[in-house]
Amino acid sequence: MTLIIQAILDGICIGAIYGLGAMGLVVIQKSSGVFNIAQGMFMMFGGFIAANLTLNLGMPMWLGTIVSMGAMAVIGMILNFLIMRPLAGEPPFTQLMATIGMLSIMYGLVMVIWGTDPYIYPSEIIPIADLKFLGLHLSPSYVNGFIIALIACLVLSEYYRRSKEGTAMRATSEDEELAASVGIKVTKVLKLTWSIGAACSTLAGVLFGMLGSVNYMLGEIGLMAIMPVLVFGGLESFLGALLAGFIVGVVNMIVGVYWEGSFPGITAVVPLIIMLLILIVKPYGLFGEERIERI
Amino acid sequence: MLTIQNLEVVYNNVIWVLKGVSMEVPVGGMICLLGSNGAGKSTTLKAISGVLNLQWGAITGGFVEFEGERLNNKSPQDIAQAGIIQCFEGRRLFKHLTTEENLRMGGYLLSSNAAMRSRLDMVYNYFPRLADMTHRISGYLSGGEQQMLVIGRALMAKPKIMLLDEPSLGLAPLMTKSIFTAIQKINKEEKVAFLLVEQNTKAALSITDYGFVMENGRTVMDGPSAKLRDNEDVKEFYLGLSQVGTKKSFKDTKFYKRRKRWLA
Amino acid sequence: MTIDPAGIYRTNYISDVAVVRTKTQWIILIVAVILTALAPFYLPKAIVNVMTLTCCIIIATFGIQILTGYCGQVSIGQAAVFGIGAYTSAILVNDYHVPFFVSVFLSGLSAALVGCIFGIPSLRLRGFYLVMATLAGHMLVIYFVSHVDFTGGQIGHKADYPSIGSFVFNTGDRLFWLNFGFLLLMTWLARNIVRGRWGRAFIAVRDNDLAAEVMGIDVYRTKILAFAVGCFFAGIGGSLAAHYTGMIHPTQFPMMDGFWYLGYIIVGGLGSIAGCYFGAIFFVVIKEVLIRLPVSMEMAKYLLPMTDVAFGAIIILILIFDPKGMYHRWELFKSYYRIWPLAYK
Repeated sequence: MTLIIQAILDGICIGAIYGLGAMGLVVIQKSSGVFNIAQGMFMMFGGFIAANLTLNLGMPMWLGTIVSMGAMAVIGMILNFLIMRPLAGEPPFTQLMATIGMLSIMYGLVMVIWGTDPYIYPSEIIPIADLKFLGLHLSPSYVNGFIIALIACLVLSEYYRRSKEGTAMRATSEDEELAASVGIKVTKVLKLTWSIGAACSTLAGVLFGMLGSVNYMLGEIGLMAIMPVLVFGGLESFLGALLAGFIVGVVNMIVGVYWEGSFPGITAVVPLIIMLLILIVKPYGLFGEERIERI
Repeated sequence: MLTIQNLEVVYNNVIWVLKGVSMEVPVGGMICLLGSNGAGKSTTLKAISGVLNLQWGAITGGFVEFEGERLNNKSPQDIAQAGIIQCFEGRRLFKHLTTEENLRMGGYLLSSNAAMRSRLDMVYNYFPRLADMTHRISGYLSGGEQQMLVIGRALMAKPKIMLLDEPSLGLAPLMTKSIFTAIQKINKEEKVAFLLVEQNTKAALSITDYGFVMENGRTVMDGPSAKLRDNEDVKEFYLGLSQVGTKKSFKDTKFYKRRKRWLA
Repeated sequence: MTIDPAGIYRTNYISDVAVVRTKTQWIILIVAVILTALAPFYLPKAIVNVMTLTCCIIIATFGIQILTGYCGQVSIGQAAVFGIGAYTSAILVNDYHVPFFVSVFLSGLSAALVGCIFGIPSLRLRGFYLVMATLAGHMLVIYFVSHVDFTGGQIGHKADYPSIGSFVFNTGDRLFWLNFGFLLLMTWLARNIVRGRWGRAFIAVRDNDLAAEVMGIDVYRTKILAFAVGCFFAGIGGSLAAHYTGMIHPTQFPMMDGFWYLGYIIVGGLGSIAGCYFGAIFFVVIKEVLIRLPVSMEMAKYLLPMTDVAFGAIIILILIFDPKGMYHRWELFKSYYRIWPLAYK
């Protein structure tokens, strides 16, 4: 019994991190309409930058995280300027392929710069002790992940829903030409989007890395973790992404507790199976918006 | 107020669409732009509002001047800020946003919340139907309601001149009439000039003061609307009333025998 | 669409659909085939080996071209079905002693079957949701083959050299001719599928599947067919590759390969079979050149990841500057050559 509750608690914590990672992708999708398949690589790249800063330069964890978020925000803006801007207005498949190109470049760069060794962070962002109560145990990295991811998600979600810039971002994702003619500075919106998206994933990557280590597989693992979250929560909604993150995290943990022993590696796969089943039934995800089509 | 002189527009470096268009829109004027499909009317509007380069087009000659300033190479955002708002062809909206959000996006350039609120009230005044569906997703509105929303959205930005591209496209006659009545009201009360591109020649000539007829990228005729309505050529080419009585037969096709040619 | 020289009219259906139009083109084609077939006699062994593996990759690229280029269903699972073909063939030949040519065909079929399963969500999924579904499918397949005993699990599985009766294809030259022969056969097959009824149905579904449905094309069946055909090609390619390398292992089919196949058809040209040749050969050449660059021992370990960076950069550059791919450039070149010296800018 305690095992299940432990799994649920851990699942909620890790789910918040998944939700944050998915949010990075949702941010970019909401405003530029591009499915950034390289989001997992953003997470990994940011995680590695933070690892470099904290391990090699001795920065405290919170500073290293913020600086790496800033660095990735700049990199996001540069990628937008170099790659996505020349491709503005092209069909979505072309933009998807461009993100695939980015994925490949970042993967290669990670291998070249940092190699295949794992890096372990020196400490957590918010230093707290192990929490032990009622026979349950919450390690500091999990609690860190939960609190920080939750706050980030809520802040981002409110920004998008209420503020004028947030609605402008949604409008730009619909129809860039129309947005331009209404007075929205489309280039500024896109720059902002990519930086927020990249920074978001970086934070998620760092939190993820705190749970274990930062290594070259993180990109793939991150993408595999985010995908079920996106399907459960839809590509259009932030709170959906957060809730979906919780669900996926909990499912992951419970599956891990019961089945990891007998079927090694199944933890990564079960959410994918569930995701496929959901996609068959609800093609736009559980909370996603249906594309409005008139022939 | 708005002057276009000898405008030349080329798409894709290859397709020469406008071959020297000149026209003028005075303050508070109602001007219509007539012509058959492919004459270059939409291109003229796009050249004014600056969205040409988003469609691989460019102004290669002539100029567009608004209140003394040349608009040739300005970005669409700057032109919108100057007070020229275009309503695109085909009821283009932010389909997944609600009606009210669409209107708010129209008022993106407004500086304060109070200004936004007062403009919103004004738009709902002109189009009461929209007030009933503020929170409906705009993609699901009917054609007429969408057209009202498009015009309302343009109105939100305090335009000095509105460029309407085929507002009556695909609308029932009664709906067309109500939209045109609204346009006339807006013109009188808000002192907004209109440049109206229309295929529905009869309706367009009935509410406008002055008209330009375009053919193959040039303006071939212009004049006060009343004179255009009575002009034989306009009647034959656009209003379907031929000189040979009311019944047309192919035997009487005179196009190739007419001495008068608009394409010199 | 080919731009024909002026004065050429297609007067009946057969000449309209013809792949090779004139006698001259036939002669050029045959000469090219013979020259390539004679490659083992004048090219070094290493290059012949690379060409052999490239044949398998090109066959798999036909598959993804039919699926994504002609039918518009973006799929990242091609590497996984390539693996399915490889495993099926290896198991059939080694464990059940099925004759090679039968097992190639059967592995194509088994890959096609798995492809149909990938394709079931395709009816209602668009764009990136389909991408995610195929990516998940890829992961599932790889997980399955890594953890099941009869595929050899983490150890891998052996695959003997192909043989007909007592004649064994066990030298580099023989393997090259076998693979090249299959490549020609598969090219013929792909070209004919694409220019016939199925191909037209695929293109209709790609361009506007609602309109296609209204016109009478059963969109669901067509999409599943596209998946089946696309994965059939991948299965054949996989089986040939397995018997060439001799040993297969789950790590030979990583997720990145699925992305590469899309890259090959983008660079080569979406929607053309000849484009597959361009794309696959281009990337293979880049990779082989890159890993053989004469750099110091210390830098050498960076060369393989740099191929990833190079591939990504090439894909992005092609997308920005020439999204129609190399086949389009080739068409432009041919048109320029035909109307020279009367070029219009």
